[in-house]
Amino acid sequence: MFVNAAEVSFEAYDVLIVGSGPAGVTLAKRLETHGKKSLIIETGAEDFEGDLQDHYSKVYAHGHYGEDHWGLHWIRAFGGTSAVWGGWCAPLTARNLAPWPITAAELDLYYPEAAQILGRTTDFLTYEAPFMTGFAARPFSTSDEPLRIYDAYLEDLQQNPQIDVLLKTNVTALFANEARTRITGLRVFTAQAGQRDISLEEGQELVLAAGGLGNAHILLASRSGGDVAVGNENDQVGRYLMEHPHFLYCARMVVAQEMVFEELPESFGSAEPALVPTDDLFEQNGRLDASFQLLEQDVDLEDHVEQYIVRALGGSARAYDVWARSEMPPDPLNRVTLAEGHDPSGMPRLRANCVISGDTLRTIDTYLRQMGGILAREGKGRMRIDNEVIYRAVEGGGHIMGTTRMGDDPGSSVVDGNCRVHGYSNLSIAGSSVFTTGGYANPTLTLVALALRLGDHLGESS
Amino acid sequence: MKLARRDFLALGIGGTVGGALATATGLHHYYTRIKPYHQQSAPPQPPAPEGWLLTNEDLDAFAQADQVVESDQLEILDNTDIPGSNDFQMMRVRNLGECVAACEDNSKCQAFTYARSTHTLEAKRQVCWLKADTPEKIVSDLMSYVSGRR
Repeated sequence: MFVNAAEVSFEAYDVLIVGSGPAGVTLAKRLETHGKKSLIIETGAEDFEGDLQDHYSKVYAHGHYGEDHWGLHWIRAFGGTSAVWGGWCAPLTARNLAPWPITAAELDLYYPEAAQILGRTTDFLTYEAPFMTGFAARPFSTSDEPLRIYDAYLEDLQQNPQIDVLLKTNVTALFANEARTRITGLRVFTAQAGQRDISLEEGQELVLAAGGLGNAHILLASRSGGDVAVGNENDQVGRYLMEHPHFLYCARMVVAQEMVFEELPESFGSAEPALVPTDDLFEQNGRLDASFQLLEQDVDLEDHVEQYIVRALGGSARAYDVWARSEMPPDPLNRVTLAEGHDPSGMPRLRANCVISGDTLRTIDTYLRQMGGILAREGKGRMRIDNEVIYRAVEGGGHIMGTTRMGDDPGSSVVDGNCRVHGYSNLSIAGSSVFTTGGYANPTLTLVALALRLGDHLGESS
Repeated sequence: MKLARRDFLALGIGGTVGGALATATGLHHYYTRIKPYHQQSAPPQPPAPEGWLLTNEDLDAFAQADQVVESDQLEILDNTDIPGSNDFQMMRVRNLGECVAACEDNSKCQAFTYARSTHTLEAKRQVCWLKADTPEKIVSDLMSYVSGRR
């Protein structure tokens, strides 16, 4: 049911969830199966409202991504950032999860159901096929109609007795007990009624599912207990901000006709063909993962080099443009911090510092040079690399990760393997902000899988 | 020096057709047309076109393509452009020899210009223009071009 702030009884819920995006709604639906009643609190309205977006998602930006970039991927509306999701899915693999406190096997338990929620079959979770020395085919699962929470869940949530939704309400701060072992309450803001403090009863759980920026924002702004914000006892909140550096048209290859992707099983669904480095190459390149999407193009016979390559390959060839997507290593200096000014709810603005390191750029360049070298050595083609694109024109995917990182050590993380904020018995976090590392994979699938897992954890534990 | 099949094709021998005698004659013809390069066994290699990861063999092929050849019928003008003069055909060729041969074989052709593979404009690299008029003016000292006239 949709409820309004003036009438809602916050103590009537087992779990309060801040945010109505894919993480929050997936979590609420999972809790429903465990007989738990939850309240989703969302800043935005039922439909997207430009004013709310402008008021609440303005971020000062430093580094490789500008102000617009952050706001564009922090949507303040029912359904959250699913409104702008592009629909690409890929799982994090065992090598990506090595630095995480949970194993690939634990996440693999939830990936199939996450895929199903996002409207996919499970083929893409494990599909891998040979393509060339050093690189295997690992296509992304794509969709012409990616899941929009609004379309998929609005009707259900309007009448669901186990899940209530409170719109146009901001959670602006959390309160902790003096020992900092549990959350005792939260401050909510509505334009009509202003600020109101709600206390959290014994047994009630609070989950932040407010987005890659929003989760850190709420914690950082929760400073009523002194200078140290809730959950930030080790100064880790907001750090390890990660994106997926995108390098569009960073290279082009003209290759032999036989360099073609194997036909995918029909059950795979829509896909975008892409290559990933083999484990050997991944190790050689400092365990930085990357994906190289190949877009088939006509050979340019007006280009004398391409014409030469076609001749050298025996008269016919294929051409692919390459789009690279890279992992970005977690760096504590890439972070969001509270900044000057405040939004209409009184929350301080955020500042995002996000710098893609020279090592990352160089590693993508190295992967491409290895790919081109292998093609030439094996007589399968030639490659051209666009230096400008790699070193001066990097873009992003809008994949905001890492700001409340998962880890066993509270000195380098914010939540534990169960997505519980270190030290707090009733505060958890859902969403890509908990990613320990980001791999190259679009985060939605993994954050949905983690929300299911958190739902089971909260549903079974109390 | 290694001759690839494409080099035979460039000479108009047409692969295996013509038999061994023709091949031997063609080879002889080809070698005698190439000006000896001073004290060097290999022609100078142009730098790889920007961004491409090419092999030494690739660069040899490009250098070979640009190497000046001699002609019985045409006066070859290295580092020279012949602008205008009623171009009647423009084509991409595999090497300078192909451009020379095309002009020799066409009675309409009074002159030609060939743009080397190192030309700054990608669209012009290894392009051959055949010209119907006797050139009125030539522009010398342009390293990107080789021209010729009857």
